[in-house]
Amino acid sequence: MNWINPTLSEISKAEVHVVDRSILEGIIKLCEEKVPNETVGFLYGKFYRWRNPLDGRVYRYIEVRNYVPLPGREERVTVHVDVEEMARILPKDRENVIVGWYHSHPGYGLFLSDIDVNTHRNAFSPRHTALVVDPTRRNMDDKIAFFTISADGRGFREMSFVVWERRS
Amino acid sequence: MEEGRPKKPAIREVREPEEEEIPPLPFREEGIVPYYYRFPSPEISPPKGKERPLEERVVKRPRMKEKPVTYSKIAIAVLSLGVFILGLAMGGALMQRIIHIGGPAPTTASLTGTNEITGVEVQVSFKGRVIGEVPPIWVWVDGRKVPLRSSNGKAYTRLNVNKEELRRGIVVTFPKEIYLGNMNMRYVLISPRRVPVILTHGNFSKVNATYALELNCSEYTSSKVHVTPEEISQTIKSLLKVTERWSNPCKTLVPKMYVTGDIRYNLSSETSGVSCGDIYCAITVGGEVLELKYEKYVRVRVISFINDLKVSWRYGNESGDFTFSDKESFSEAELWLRNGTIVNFIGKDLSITVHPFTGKEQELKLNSYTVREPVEVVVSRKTTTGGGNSSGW
Repeated sequence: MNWINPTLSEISKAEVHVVDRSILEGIIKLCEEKVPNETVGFLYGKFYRWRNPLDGRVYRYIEVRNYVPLPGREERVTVHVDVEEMARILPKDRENVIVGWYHSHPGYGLFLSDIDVNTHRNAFSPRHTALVVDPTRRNMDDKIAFFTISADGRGFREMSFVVWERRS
Repeated sequence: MEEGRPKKPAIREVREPEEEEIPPLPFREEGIVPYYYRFPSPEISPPKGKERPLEERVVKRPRMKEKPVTYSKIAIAVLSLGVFILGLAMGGALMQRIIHIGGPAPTTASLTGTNEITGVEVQVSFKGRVIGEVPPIWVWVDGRKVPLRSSNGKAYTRLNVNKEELRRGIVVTFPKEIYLGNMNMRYVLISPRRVPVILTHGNFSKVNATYALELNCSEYTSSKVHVTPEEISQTIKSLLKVTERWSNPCKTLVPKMYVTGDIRYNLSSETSGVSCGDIYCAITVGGEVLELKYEKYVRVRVISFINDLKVSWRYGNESGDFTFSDKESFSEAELWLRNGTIVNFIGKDLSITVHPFTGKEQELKLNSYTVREPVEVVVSRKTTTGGGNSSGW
């Protein structure tokens, strides 16, 4: 196999692939608009796996293609979801499935709280991802992180991710 | 169902998602370059996240033929890892010696010990129950900012310490923003062998406590989620169940004041702002509010989670006092106050003032006041400079 760019191959081992930077920027913008309140939404996309010919290993990854902010009332540490509105939104995107969720932690950093872990455990699986955005941070390293719960559902771990952009 | 209304989403189980076998995006499309990436896992370690895009490269699409991943292999691997970690944890627990440090938690603590100690785990647990988000807490260790991982109302970290550092001593400094009065702290010293660990921590008591945990109850509002759980899918149901708990993470800890009757009350901003944990004070002036008609007696009920809260009163030549019991999870006592009664509530770091309501211009006076009129009850936190012993761990 002729791999011109092994570095790119390495990067492609990421567990989460955001197909376009506009998606991430859109989520960040939404979160920034809601500061100091939290906001929450779903990540849409697909689950994939592939075998890297270089090492022969199989990598599973999530491709995030879209996001859907959940309607509702946001407060400082609370998001109240409008279920009726959500019911109208959710069935629209039949192309993709929910691959995770995002929510903001305005001003208190990137982590999954116990509640977040519970949310993830109850509503999702360890294969899903939880994007946490701290819209108050300037540095990207401190601004976003993808997490998932550990296999036993008690803790969480950060996921590797890559955000792609299209160059024409 | 009403026409035009959306159908209720069906309840679904959370299950493993289905996967397709497709290589990542750059192998499927051309002109795709990474914009930002991060690999926290040490297994795969390209350079840490960089915001500058890499140069565009042409990538040929690889052929893909493979068998699907079996979950059994993953389960076995996870199980093995779990057993290994459990073994480590059990072994570690036997080797730990727990040092309970009484008194107000220090802002700066110096740990020195023998060479047997290889690490120290700094634990901060909150008194009472904290429901909800625990903001990140960090300590400074020898100038390094070390975040404490928070979980279940506790924040903790484990620091590896070498012999040299132990000889020198470790200085753990808490930021002023941390309100230590709300928390219990302990240091778990980790020893490689089951041998006594000798510690000198003489300067603990010399350090004053400082305040203000970044858990500001005043910012947490109590509200109810108006949803009907039956109407939502399992996914959303779980989410809402959680958000409902989000609604008031400090609800068991926020100082509460129950006042019935036409009695004015006030919670000082100081109290409502910082007292997430150690103060739970409910004051009821009511039920017997009718007594006010006689302008003689007011019944004040004080419920406090603070042990040994002493209340004394004096009226003319009469006087008395009582101390709240520490047998219960909270203490309760009633005091009948006549006009002109001077009441002192003496707690370790709490003072409750009962004073006459005479208008906004009334100057609050801590610890004592004379009751003449319908009372305004003020719960305020007395500024302390340390001292005293903390309650059990």
